[in-house]
Amino acid sequence: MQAIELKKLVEVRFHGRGGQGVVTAARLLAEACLLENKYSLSFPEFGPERSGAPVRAYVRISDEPIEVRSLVYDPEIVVSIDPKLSSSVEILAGLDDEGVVIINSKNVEEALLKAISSKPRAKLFYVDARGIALSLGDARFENSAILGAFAKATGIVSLSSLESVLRTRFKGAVLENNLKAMRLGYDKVGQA
Amino acid sequence: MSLLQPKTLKPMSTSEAIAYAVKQANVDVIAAYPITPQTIIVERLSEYVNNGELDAEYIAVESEHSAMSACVAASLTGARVFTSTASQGLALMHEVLYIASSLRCPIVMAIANRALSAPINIHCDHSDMMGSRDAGWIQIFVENGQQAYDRIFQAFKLAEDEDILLPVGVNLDGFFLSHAVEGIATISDSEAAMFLPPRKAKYYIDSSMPMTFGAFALPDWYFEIKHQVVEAMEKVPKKLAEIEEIYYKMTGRRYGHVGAYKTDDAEVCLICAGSAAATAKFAVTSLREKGIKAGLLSIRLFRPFPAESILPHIKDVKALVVMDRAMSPGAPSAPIGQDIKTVLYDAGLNIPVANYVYGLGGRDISVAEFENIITKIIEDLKAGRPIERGVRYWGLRI
Repeated sequence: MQAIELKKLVEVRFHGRGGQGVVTAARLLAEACLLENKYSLSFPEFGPERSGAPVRAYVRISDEPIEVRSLVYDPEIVVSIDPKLSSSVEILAGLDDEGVVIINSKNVEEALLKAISSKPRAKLFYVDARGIALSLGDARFENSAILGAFAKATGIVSLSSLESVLRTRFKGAVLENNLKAMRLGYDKVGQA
Repeated sequence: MSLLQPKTLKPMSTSEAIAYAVKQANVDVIAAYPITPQTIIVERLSEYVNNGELDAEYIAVESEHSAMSACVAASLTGARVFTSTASQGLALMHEVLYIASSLRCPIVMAIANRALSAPINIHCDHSDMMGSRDAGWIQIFVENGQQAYDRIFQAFKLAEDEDILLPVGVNLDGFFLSHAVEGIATISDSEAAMFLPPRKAKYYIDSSMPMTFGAFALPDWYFEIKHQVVEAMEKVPKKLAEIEEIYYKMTGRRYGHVGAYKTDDAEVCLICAGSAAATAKFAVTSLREKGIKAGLLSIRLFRPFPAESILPHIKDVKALVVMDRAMSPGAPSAPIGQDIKTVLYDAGLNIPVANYVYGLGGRDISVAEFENIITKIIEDLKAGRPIERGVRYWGLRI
């Protein structure tokens, strides 16, 4: 399932809502990239800062120091953490022709499949991150599940680097459940 | 510039990097009021003080006016003092900013640049600092987290130098920098202590050695006292260069008064400040690959305006593009545009300047937009069309 090779600069856009760990997911990914000796930059794009409001976060990954500070317009990878946004075709805006999309869903809706068919070389992955998180007792683990799926689908960062970053930030049961969610996301991600 | 391996860097937001540098600078007093997008800086510092990692007095004040007032008083006792604010917070400090500079208080303040109300907006532009432009503070712009971290140490050393004794603002773009996480190369605590030993104030409030601070001055002396700020300001470029040299020997990193990129043979040079300069650099690289002779000059030291460092890079270009992230309604040019035109005039140069206001209230500017701006000027030059003078507004919907 090696979907994408690290070009000069890879840009990732995360979609979600305030409270779903969108900004944290982007940061964890950026930190895992540093561990693997890749330069990274992560940053959020906020509207009103409140729970439930749409939030985007971005990650740039490169073998060279990263200088561009503008928002990301043509991402190689799009990740939707919010299950409701995951069926929306808007998340495909600006996607690279050979891009990768990872959504939080049990299945892939017809409309999204149709929309992405205009880019025959793009790849669409799905994982029921919400289901995984709820099976562990808290929807807040879904961003970790999504990151696990990201590692498997893109191969840009390893599961073990992401796990290392989790270990620096969390402890106890919260850590264990995030690690489980990440592993399950990695194992269960499917390609549409 | 020496490059460190990414895996040796610490992941930090620019705000966290600033707070970490302030901790390593071993400040004595912090007085601050939280405001978006500066909040993380003061939150981290209050945590450092609370958990005993930083032995400083953290004064949780009730407003920014009080924050700066407390900073002035603390600084006059000889303490090393830090604060941070943004937008309305900086505006509320306004009257005390002048007192800080004229009483020669070497306070360092991180300004997470944010638009001013109304309409209320939490996002980046430089209007807040431009409103305080003439308050007698040294003003530095940073373009990324690494510069922000490094400049904090340099800012204290510069501010506290007996030849200078002026407050320093370190300006970081709200959100674009304040909330961006990247790998930061840090110095050790012992390196920080060597570079920046404890402040030794020559004059300070001490009841055993009474002195007057903040005295009244009538027309007989007010002018002369105010002029001392100008005299100190004039010494800043040389002093900052000396400080950077010491820091460079320790870290291999140096930024200068301006950041020049491919200016040597440039036909058109774009001038801007803050995080957009980093984006513009990418645009210049891309234009050079297409054979277009573009260059970039980023303003890193804004006050004092480093005319002598700027002039060699722009004197031979055919046209300049000056990008301002703040407006000056009714003025003939936007703030940096005014300064650049003055530098040109004083040097007897009549190089056309296209002055754009861009990105107010956090509106993004992309690599492609920078390319379009420069390409348009190059086409005008080729076609012999005059470069439009006055202020233009990039990306404005009319």
